[in-house]
Amino acid sequence: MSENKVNYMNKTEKSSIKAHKTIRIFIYIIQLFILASIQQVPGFIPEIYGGRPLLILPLILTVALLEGNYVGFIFSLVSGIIMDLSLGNHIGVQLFVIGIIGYILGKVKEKLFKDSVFTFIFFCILIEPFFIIMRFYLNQGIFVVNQEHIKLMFINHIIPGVLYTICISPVIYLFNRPIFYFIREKEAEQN
Amino acid sequence: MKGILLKIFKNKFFQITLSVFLFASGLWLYTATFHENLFSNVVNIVVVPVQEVLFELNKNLDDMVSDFETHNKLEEENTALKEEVRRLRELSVDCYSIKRKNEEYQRYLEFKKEHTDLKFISASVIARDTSELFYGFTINIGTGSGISEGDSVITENGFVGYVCGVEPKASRVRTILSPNIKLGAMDSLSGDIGVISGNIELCEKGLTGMTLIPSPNTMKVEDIVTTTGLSGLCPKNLLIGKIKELSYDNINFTNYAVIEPFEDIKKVKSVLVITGFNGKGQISQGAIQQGS
Repeated sequence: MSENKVNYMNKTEKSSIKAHKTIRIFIYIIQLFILASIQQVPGFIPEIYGGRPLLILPLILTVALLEGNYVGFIFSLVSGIIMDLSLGNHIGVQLFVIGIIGYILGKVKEKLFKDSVFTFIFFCILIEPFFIIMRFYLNQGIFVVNQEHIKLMFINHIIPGVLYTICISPVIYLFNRPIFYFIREKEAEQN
Repeated sequence: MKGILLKIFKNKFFQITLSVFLFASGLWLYTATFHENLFSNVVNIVVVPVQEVLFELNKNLDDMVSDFETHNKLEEENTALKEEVRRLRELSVDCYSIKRKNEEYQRYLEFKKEHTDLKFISASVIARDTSELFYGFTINIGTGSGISEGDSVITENGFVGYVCGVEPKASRVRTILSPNIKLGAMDSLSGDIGVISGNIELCEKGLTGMTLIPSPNTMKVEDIVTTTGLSGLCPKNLLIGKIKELSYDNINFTNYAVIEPFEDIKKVKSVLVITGFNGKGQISQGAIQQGS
């Protein structure tokens, strides 16, 4: 009789955790589509020194840091598909790279780091420049013919874009973090 | 009879009525005779100030009520006017939008009249990727509207680029600022031909380049550059831009011209996609001869 009760409790707890996780993922997905749309609309986000932020990337890092490797990996894959489709060439490259990043970040965070703004900014500084440079090269192909052009590309587009993205990243993280903990608290209360 | 009369006269009500009647008659006779209203004067001394006070009080009360009513009315009127202003503002925004679209269509109509052989569809720029260095963009029409890869993209001012990727509902456009574009171009005055291809340095200034210009040539600064249409990929004589500078390309060892496009490609918002024209897909005899 008592075993049945324990089983029943476990089942209800599990379904509650699942429901709360689904709510959080739903919120992330909505944000993903909103950010993916606004980052592309011409003139919606002002250019600073020729750079425009890549808004999806901080969201992916946020989800991976908050939710861990499993959700981080799945979410990164979905985001990767969207980013690939927006470029329209080399489909699968961004999906693969960002999927791996999402998984590793979730795993590293679980093992080594505590969830904090500083951890997030640390990972932003580590990952965002690499990913944005890769994206520029994927989009433009081999077009750089001399050193002067590489310098121009970095000074006028890549560096401002990277800095802009890094500066805007904590906003996305700080928006999602309270939502995450609020839903987690509700989940704990119910269980 | 005498007893009845006596009884009546003794009645207090009758006495009062009679005395009032007599007093009133006397007063009437006096005022009618001497044209003086003594009583009225006496009464007025007391009544007029009270009346004045009451009148003022009433006036103020009236003003207050009227103010209150006016305030309510004004408030209602204000709300109605605000609503009207909002509606008119919306209407004016719509008007501006319609006016702008109308001007745009007017220009497109003129363009269509000039180029009767062209079949084109208008489209809006809906996205520019953050990693786009050469101002490539996405438009809101795709295969569903009859767009195919390689279709030329223009505005009423001139050539913008071509479609480099199509989806059912959207297409990606590569601009003439990109080094990945190779477009046959011709100096409309001298007839010298070359290939339009940009680079990042020129792109920063909103310019593009023309390479592989034969030597000798008679090209000059300010000459107008148009499409050749030799490849059959885009119609001929579409305006591209004007020559800003003539130089020599040390990398490709060829004459080089810096071209200033007629359209501001960095800010383009609506375009026309040419889906059909006379000679589409047919390589011209001139191009074959040049190739051989």
